[in-house]
Amino acid sequence: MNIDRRNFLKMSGLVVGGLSLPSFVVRAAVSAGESAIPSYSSWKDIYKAQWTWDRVVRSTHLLNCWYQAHCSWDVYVKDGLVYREEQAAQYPQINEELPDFNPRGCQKGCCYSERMYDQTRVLYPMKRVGERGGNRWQRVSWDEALDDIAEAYLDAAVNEGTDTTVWDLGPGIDLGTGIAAQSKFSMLTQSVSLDMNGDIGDSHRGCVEMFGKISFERSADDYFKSDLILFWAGNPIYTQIPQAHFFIAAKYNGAKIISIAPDYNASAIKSDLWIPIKPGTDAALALSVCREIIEGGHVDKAFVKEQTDLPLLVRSDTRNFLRQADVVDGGEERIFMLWDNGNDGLAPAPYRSLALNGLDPELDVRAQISLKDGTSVEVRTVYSLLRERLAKYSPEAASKMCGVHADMIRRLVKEIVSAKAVAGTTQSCLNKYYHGNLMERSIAMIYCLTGNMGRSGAGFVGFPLLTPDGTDKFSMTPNIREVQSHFAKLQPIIDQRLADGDTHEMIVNDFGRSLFKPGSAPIRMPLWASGQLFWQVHGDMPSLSKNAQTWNLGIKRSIDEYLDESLDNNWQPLHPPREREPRLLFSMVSNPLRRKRSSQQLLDVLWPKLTMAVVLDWRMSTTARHADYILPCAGWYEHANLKWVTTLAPYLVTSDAAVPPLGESKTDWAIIVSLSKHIQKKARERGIGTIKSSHGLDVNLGQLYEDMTMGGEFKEEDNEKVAKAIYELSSSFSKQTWEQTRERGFARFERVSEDPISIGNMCEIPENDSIVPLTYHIRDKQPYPTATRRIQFFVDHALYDEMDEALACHKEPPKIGGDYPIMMTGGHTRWSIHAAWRDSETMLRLHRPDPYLLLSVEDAAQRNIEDGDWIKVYNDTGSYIVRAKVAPSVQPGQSIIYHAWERHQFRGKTDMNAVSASPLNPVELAGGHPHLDAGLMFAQTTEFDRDTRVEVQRLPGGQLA
Amino acid sequence: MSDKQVAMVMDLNKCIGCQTCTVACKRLWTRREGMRHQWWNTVNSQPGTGTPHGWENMGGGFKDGIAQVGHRPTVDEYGKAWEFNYQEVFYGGKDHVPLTPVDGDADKGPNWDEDIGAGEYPNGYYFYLPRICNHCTKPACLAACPRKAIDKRENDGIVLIDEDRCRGYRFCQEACPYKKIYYNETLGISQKCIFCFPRIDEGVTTACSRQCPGRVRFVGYLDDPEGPIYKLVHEHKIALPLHPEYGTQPNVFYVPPMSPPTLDENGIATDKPRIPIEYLVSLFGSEVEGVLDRLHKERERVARGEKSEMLDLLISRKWIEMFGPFGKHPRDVGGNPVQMVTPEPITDKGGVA
Repeated sequence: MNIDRRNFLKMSGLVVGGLSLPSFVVRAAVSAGESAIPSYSSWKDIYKAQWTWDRVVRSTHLLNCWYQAHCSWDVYVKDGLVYREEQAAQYPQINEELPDFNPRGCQKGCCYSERMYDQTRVLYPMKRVGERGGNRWQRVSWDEALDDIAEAYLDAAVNEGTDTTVWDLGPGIDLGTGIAAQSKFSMLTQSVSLDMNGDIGDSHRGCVEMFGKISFERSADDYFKSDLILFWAGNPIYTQIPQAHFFIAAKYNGAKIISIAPDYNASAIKSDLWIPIKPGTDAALALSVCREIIEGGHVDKAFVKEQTDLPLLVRSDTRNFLRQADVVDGGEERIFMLWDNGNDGLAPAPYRSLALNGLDPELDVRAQISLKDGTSVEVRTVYSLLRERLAKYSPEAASKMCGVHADMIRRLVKEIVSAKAVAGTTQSCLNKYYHGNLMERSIAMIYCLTGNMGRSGAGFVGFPLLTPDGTDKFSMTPNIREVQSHFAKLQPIIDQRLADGDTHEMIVNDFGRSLFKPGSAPIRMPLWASGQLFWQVHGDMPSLSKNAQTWNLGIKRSIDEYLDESLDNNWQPLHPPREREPRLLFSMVSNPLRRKRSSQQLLDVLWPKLTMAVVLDWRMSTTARHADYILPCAGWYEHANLKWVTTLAPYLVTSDAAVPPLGESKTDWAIIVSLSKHIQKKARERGIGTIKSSHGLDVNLGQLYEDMTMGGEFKEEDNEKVAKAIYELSSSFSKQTWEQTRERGFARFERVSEDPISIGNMCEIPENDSIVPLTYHIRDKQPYPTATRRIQFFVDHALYDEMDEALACHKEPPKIGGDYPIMMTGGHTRWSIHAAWRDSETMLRLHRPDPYLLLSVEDAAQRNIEDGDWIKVYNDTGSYIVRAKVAPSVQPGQSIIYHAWERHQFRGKTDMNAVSASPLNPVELAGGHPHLDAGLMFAQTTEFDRDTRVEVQRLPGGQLA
Repeated sequence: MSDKQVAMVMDLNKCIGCQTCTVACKRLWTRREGMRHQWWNTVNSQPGTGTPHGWENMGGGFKDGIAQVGHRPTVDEYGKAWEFNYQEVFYGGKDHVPLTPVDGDADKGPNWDEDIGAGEYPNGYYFYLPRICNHCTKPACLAACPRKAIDKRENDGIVLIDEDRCRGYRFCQEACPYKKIYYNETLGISQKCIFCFPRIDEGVTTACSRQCPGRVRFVGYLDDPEGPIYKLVHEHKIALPLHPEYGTQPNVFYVPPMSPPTLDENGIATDKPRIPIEYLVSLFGSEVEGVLDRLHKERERVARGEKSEMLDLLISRKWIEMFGPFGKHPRDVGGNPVQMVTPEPITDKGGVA
């Protein structure tokens, strides 16, 4: 007789209605008063039962999947637990020609049902026991935690300044109910909100310089209409999983894909041609392509004459644009000049509209003209200067810089100029190189020169973002019924500026800029600061770059000098200022100790300044481990919310509560409102009423909760009511009610919202077609939000002039970290969205359980390193231990470590950030300029790591000690 | 044996190696006791050892109709499902305890050589190969089971292991040349892909196909002339079986992967695709070269402005049409609650009263 567990269970069971069931099951059911038990007649019933459920709820994952945001999922609930999820896949087909968006989703979202219950989940408020980072915690009540935090907050706000409380807003911000709460809190208390975009390395600095904005992207189905898709930098097969099928389907629809990347990455394998390039040298390649386009007569002259600054005149003496005020009495500073062939003389460039209206600008001008005071100066068009700059980038010369053979450069040019519609995919890779701005500009120039902009299937794209604009309205209004009248205070300014010839986009951009300048807008705003500068200055990061002069950064003065100049001139927003220290840090949907390069420096320098570090999260993370308090957040299937998405998939996707918040977790909204309640209570106990903010604004701490809840109308438990209010205040959803959208799970945006980070798309969102960005500029001739109102090839700022970056050029990738032979590049992993799934069992099981550095076969062999060996990676900045993964796809001299490994996943005490010093790039410290001025999520300093140079060494025997 | 045969076509040009199919199957089926290491759906980078490691050299199947000796893979060969020491790391009170597998340093997992492939820089190459049980027409597993515990459904050809009849002898594991059968040590039975029969029976396609964001998989009846499977396999003949020489007549077919050209010593592109044709022939048979040629020609025709039924089929503008008769939405048909019965009263002796 075969006695094994299964048979034992079978034999000891009772026969019930023709089945066998273990008697303990029957007894348990009967004793629990169950009148019925599951019916099983065969093994098949077990599988059938696995595909049953009690409830289904439409929801999504509220985090920063970035280009992949977001996907509509059905969440299956059984016995009060989330059992599994499956894509809803109910996106209607847009039109007959285009593939539909279904089913979207990825492997990560597919196992959130497991993640939300795993051992990393935080279920109740915890207070640290012993030292920070000691990994000992004490469970406390919400009241105890919030009282303690409130006291610390009041001490800091009253005694040291309202701007000593800082909110680290991570990439996970929702621009839904969570940010509504934080934004309102910051607006009321004037505590600091950190702008994280440069901080996370997504600055798109090149876009800022050329377009005066970063947010413009097509819908993913528009790629289906391309003839040539360039995967130039970036790895969309890893980072655009839900819409990758559009790129591949485009190949079946007549398109070609060309991939340009140092390594044969997962996107290169889908291309028709892969062009390997030396990492960090993309500017050289792009500039050579630009040169060939110009010299080969492939410039779309109509486009560049109208839409770019190429025909504008630059004075050779000042190396700045010629202004009408320079040449004409009573002329304006804001009007630029060109040479009109029609009149064979100077003419003012169009101002209110880009339409040339009969003007025929000459592109290639080098002439002497008289200023209004009689002086004779030489002027040249930007085009003339550009041609001179590009002369250095013949294919033969560029080949030496970038490693691409001259014939392949010519081939790339040929492919580009012979394609009707050339589109590039978005990427956040270039901005992580020190000279990424030059690389991005050079690439964008290709599209502008050939007129591959603003047409279906064609165009350079920047940063994709599309927000529900109701959040701003909700968070800034004092009362939900006063939204109209409150925002009407802006109307006089808007009207005046429109009358002056500014566009809505320019006005909205500047509205965003006023977040960084307290008191500068007629309505009260939250207080924002540059996240990257905050970490750099208050964490003393520049000290990591004390040997920067040997790194070949290509800068003329020390980084400290540039930083001082910028801060002295208020070019970049830093709150609190250098002279004072931050005291409270709230880290929300963020993980700075995981992501900041050289994060140990933050622990050593910044953390000791903090009287309190509070992390709001649903999981234990690197940053949470060093906090004083961890406040548990409700998971994404545990509350209703709405979130920003992107034009790539222009559907607002909502989350819903499939189950109530686990344990004692609360929504972000509830946590922040509850905090304000405790602050108000403690303030009243301590006799604190209204205090002055560090910038002189009234901060009424005795009324904080009343103000946060708008007179009690939106209390801590009203998260869903807030979501509904935001939805109803948003301008993009007239066809579905909130209830309908919540049930359906998604709503297609009907128009681009008019908030600072979405408006840059400047286009319609057609109901029955794909999205083409920038059509308001290109088709409708609206000016760009730049100094010259045009796409700028020439950047007119003293810092750019100093660094010889007024026009794009190629600069050798610096050797950050020292003169070591291997460049440590990176990318976003396929296996997690930031750190959210990084230490998930299921995800780790499906690749490797430890962090690994990808090495080329050649470099590994030279160092006796085999796949799986433990190695030490080091440079002058630091070192870390990691496993080697050896692959033929990696370029010799390159190594790749994909991002977001938590510190606790590294065997040694240091992590991958230990080798990256991330020095500041002085051009990014610019300010006091019409468009090189900190805006919402752009025009600030960036985190760089891709130029990090390292050496790697096998540990003895390839083993750990 | 079966009147109709349900089948799947996977377009390897579309597969992006995201493993959503793998996780979808795992979250639905292989989450019971003893199933942690089971991945009924796998995706591996080819060339590579795959899972189980080196499965292509583990024998099984048929040669000239004669059953071949096969190796029974171990859990380690499939790739163990590591568990980690979270509690110790987060709450153990020590400064730095790294997250590590509780059983000690990990052996190779099921997707160990992801994105490695073969070749020499800059001519390395790899592609993704998703695999499930092929629900073969001539299943070696069925033939090998002495208890006749494996059956092929008459109405649709889905091959199923009867988990009540199975005694865990595991001859099926030896016999399957694709090594797609796992052993459950807790329950003492062999288990494998069930082609989501509870879903299929309701008209809903398999989880792996429906949840694939890459839109890789077509599902339908092999012999239905209107369906995409028939067209891709029999009409356009661009979907080929994997390792047809194993002799089991698998019912999962693959559209072979295109690849960018190799680069010569100057970095200039040649006109040769970098995945060596011999390698693809070793996987899919000699027709693969003709298939790639036809794909290439059809792409050129479309680029010239002509229409291509073959490529339109591969595009599948309407996603739901990829699943033929299995296009129902889960919410519309599934979720039938488990049937309940009233138990009869029990005595203290444990028998029925």
